[in-house]
Parts: sequence; structure tokens; C-alpha cells
Amino acid sequence: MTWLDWHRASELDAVAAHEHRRYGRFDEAEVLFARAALNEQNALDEVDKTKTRTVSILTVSAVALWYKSREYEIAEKLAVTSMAKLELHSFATKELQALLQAIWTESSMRRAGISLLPGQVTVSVSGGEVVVGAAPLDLIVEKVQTIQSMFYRTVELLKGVELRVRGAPKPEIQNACRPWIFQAAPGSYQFSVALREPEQPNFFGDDVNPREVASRFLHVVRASASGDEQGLLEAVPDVKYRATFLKLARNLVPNGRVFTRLEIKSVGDDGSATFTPESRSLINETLRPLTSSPDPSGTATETIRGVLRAVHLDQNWLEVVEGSGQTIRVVSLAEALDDVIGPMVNKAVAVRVARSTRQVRFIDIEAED
Amino acid sequence: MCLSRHHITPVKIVIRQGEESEERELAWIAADPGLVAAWANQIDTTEAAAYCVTLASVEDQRQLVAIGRTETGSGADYLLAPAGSPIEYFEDVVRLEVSGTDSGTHAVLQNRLTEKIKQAREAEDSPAIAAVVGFKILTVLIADVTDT
Repeated sequence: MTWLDWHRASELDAVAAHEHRRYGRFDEAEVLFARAALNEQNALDEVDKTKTRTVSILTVSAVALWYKSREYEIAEKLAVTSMAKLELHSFATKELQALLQAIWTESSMRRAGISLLPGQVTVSVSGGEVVVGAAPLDLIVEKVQTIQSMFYRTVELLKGVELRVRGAPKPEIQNACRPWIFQAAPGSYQFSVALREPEQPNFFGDDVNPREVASRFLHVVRASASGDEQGLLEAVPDVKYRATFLKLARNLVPNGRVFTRLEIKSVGDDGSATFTPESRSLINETLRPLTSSPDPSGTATETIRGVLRAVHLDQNWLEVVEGSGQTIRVVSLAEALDDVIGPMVNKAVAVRVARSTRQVRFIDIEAED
Repeated sequence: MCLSRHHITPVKIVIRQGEESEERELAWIAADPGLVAAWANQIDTTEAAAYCVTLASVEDQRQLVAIGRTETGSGADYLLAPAGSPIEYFEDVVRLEVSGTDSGTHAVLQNRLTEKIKQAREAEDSPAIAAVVGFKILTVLIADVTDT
């Protein structure tokens, strides 16, 4: 058989494997992925090694197929030996590095007896003060918190839980599918997040496929980042949930100074979401019709800028200290949510308010540089 | 399924490449309940349908056909070559980067195309075509990655 014959055989098995996976028949899919991987590796053995682009494409394909068949040791060995012995194009080296990271994560979790839900997402922060492999700690901590909040909100949405206005997710949700963070392949500053698989069988009920958590999460962030109102409406029919996701997504938008780009992509999905400084206006445009009008009495709105020094969501107020040192108390935090506002404490914020003679009423809050 | 959500067969679809655009008729067989159940995941369905419409569009506009499908960590890549040309190796093939949106506006489509071009440029310094399909607005945007 020629390399092309082996490759054609691999293609057929891979297509069939994807079909099984789509129907939820994961065992059958893994068997076919393994057969496809073996055929692709045979194609790689047979191909003329001076055809470096063909070799590069086949190498990535074979390693990806071994990874999808969950044969992590074989996938790792092939990736490492190929990078050492073959002349690969840079795109292939980058893909293999990303695959190796995913392989190491999956195999270390398997050794520890921890199962993750499918759909690990990689978050990449770049530009501004961020360099390859290093970033300001407070920036990363804040983004990790927001992504964790969005994952919990996605689980709650899929389970049909009413929008949580105050406090953390219920312990049953936190314990069942806690997000885990992993180091990720080099390039900007990257980390990966995946949800631990719930120990309770059928945690999501019969109507929700657990695989949907990561893909729904990605759909939500992608639609939010690109101002795709219809896409967001499809992913999140409930208006309050939709507004919540948009506010959380807005917390991921780069300020353009400390960092300029945040990208979220999934290892098992073709889609990705990219946040740039321009995403803020797109998100605000989508958010505007979803937030309630400021005040029935028609008071003028204004924006207060300063540091968020105190929040008491149960008593419905927050305090902002302006540059002049003056403290302003803002009340009526009906639309403020713990996980949106929490990461902003002690940071510069812009609070949109409606001011009357008696009080300053809350409309919206955004983090500032 | 993606077209049936918004339209009744047949429809006119616009294929736009830069400033130039052409209309083509697009017809399909309505999905039966079994097919609808099998393709319940809208994200997967939109992606598969976008590949289908794009492959037809690039064949019509560029006379390029899919000659291979290879796996990546994030799904699979389609490789294109001139129709009827013999396949010896993948040295000169054109990679296809596709995205689809069910209800996105023209602005969303343009935004996706820019993103796809950027992704393709970052991935590999070789010929590639980026395409995005809007099912509600019946538009396909196609761009060469190397010369845009």
C-alpha cells in the first residue's frame, strides 16, 4: 500500500469515529480512532521524508488520532520522536506541543483517578506587559476567577437552576464539577481549565449531555466577544442569565495596557473566542437592551470613576472613592452580582449611576485600567 | 437543518470574495425527525453545515475540491486542490478554515472572517482559504489568507 492508501483508510476510520462520538458512542469511537491512528502512522512510515509539509501534516494527524483514542503513551512517544527525528514545519511543532500538553494533562489525571468532563479550554493572554510564559499575578487571578464563575453559571444554566443573584454556587454544584486549572503549552501566557466529572451519575439529568458544558461555555464567550446577539440568544435564552454572562465576559476584556488580547479555545472543538479592547463596546451594545432602565423618575445618568472600596450586596450598597478622596455611596444594587463585582474590589472602576437629590442609584459597573 | 431553521428551499445565497459577489441557488432536502434528533447539538450542526456550504462554494468559485481531511488537536482540517489534479503529496495543498453562524449579522460574519484569517496566518505560512457562512443572512464570505 502507498502512503496515500494508508491515509485514505485512516480518513474513513476517523470520519466514522467522529460520527460515533457525535452519537455518544465513545467506546466505539475510541476503537476507530485507534485504527485510524495506526493507519495514519503507516502512511507516515511510507511517505517520502523529503516532502516535509506532507510529513508535518501526517505527523500532527497521527498524534491527534492517538490522543483522541486515549492512547496517551503512544501519542506522546510519536510526538516526541517525530519532533526529534523529522524535519517538521513550525505549524506542526506548535500543534504537537499543544497536543503534548493535553496528553500530559489527561494522562496525569488518569493516573490520579480523576475524570474530567470532555472539553478542556485553553485561555491565552498576550500583549501589553504580558510576555511568553509570564504575566502579572493579579491579572491572571482575576481572569481565572471570572472563567470559573462563567463555568459555574454554565452548569447552573444547563441544570435549569434559577439565576443566582447572591452568593457562591450551591455546594452540590461546586463539589460535583469543580473547575481545575492546568499549565498549558508555551506561547503568550496560557493555562487550561477543565471541569471535574461529577461523581454522582446522571448529575445533569437525562436531557443534558455533560459534553455540552464546555461547548456551551465556548459558544457563550464567542457570541459575547463578537457581539453576536442571535448566537447568544440561542445559547442563553433566559434574559437575566444572558445579561450575567455578558457582564462576566466584559470582565475578560483586555484594557489594552497590561494586556491586549485574551483568547479562549477548546482542544476538542474548532471554535475560539477572542477578546480585544474593541470587544468592550460590542459587549456593551449587546448588554444595553438587557439591563433595566435607570430610574422611572427620569433622573440624569452619570459615570463615577474611582476605586471600589466597599460592597455590601445584602444591604444593597457599594462605595467608590474618587480621585479627590471623596467617598460616594451607591445604592440599589439589584443588578449587581457577586461574581461580577467581587473581583473589582480595591480596583479602579467606572460606575454608571442615576443621581437624584437624595441618593445615587446603581445602573452598571465596569473595571477600568 | 441550518437552512430550514430560517428558510424554505430553494433560496439564493450570496458568495462574496472581497468586493465581488455572486448569487447562487441553494436547494436542500428537509431533515426528517430522525435526522433532527441525531443533529441536536446546534454547534456541531452549524459547523458541519458550514463545511458543506463552503466546499460547494469554493468548488464553484475557485474550482478547488477537497482532496484530504486530516486530524488536528482541535478537530479536522480539509485540504483543497484543483479539481482533477493528481494527488502525489500534500506539499501544495490549500488549507480550508471554516466558521459558521446560525443567526449572525453581516458584522458578525465579517468579524468571524477576520478572526479566521488571523488564525490561519498564525497556524501556517502556506496557502489557505478562510470562509464563513451565515445561514440566516444567506451569505458566504471567502478570503485568501496569504494575500489579504
